[in-house]
Amino acid sequence: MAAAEDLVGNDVVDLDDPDIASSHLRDRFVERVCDPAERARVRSASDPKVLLWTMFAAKEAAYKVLVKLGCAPGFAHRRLGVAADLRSVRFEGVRLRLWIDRRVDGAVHAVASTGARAPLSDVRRVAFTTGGPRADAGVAARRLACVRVARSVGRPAAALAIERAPLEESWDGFGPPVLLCDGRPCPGADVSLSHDGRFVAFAAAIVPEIARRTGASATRSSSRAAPRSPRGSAAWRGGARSRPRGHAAGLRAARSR
Amino acid sequence: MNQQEALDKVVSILKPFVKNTDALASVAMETSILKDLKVNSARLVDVVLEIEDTFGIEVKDEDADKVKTVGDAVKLILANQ
Repeated sequence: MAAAEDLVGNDVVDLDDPDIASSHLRDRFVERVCDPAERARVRSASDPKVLLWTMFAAKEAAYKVLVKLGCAPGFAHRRLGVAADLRSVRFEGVRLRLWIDRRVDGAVHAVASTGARAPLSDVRRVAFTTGGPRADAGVAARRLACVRVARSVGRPAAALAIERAPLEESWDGFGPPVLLCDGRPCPGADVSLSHDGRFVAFAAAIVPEIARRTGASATRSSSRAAPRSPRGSAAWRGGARSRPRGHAAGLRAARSR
Repeated sequence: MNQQEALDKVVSILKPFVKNTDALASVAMETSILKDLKVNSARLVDVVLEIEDTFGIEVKDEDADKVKTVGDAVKLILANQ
């Protein structure tokens, strides 16, 4: 279970989206997304497409955490360095832990966190096609997150909700998602949502106090849902530009690694 | 190139990447590329590359970061002509 004050970001990529089928073959695309070391890894990879989009998802996931930390890099994927073992992402002095989930065929799900332990996370294929209703995808991602978090903390899913407060300067007019329990924000909890093509996904850091308060057995549930670390094997823009209150500890922890 | 010509070209560049095609009917300078047109974040890289190719300009990361609306893209293009 992730520790208190951990911040999380996630990104899922539909690997069968025809729009991304040849991106790995286009040098300028790869150069725009990857730093020189990453480009070399893509060139020599057994499956360059999967590696490129795994690193892209990792950068998008890390970006979401960096926004929450108040140090977002802007439109600069190549300034975020994904480690060769796909276990961390670096941006300037900040190092975030990374987990890559390839359990669902056709999808790569990246989860980044300021913490050392795997956040609760999941990715599901849903019943709409690439280019389908975006609103439905957002609803499906929220539902997945609420059901899985509710199971983790021993509460009915109906008691949980995820909202995004209006935020003028963000890319879509809303700030990062906030987990609500009985209509109130859960202190210390952090959640991230993503959807792409046929897939929806979430990641959540839930402080143990929430589970204790609700009489839950959080560790049991979360251990099943934690994404696996890779073996041999992403709303880029906007978000809050000002550092959210209460996340200084997370930034210090991320910088110290 | 005037503003309208640049706007028309930007819209044609965006068109293949737009998820909310209904919004294209009323696209204007203040239309948000991500919020209104629902362009996927991964597709933004393609949009930037298409702009570079179409207009023969280089879009730096820091300039791309400032492009939030269709009008921002138009202004960026005109400033680099």
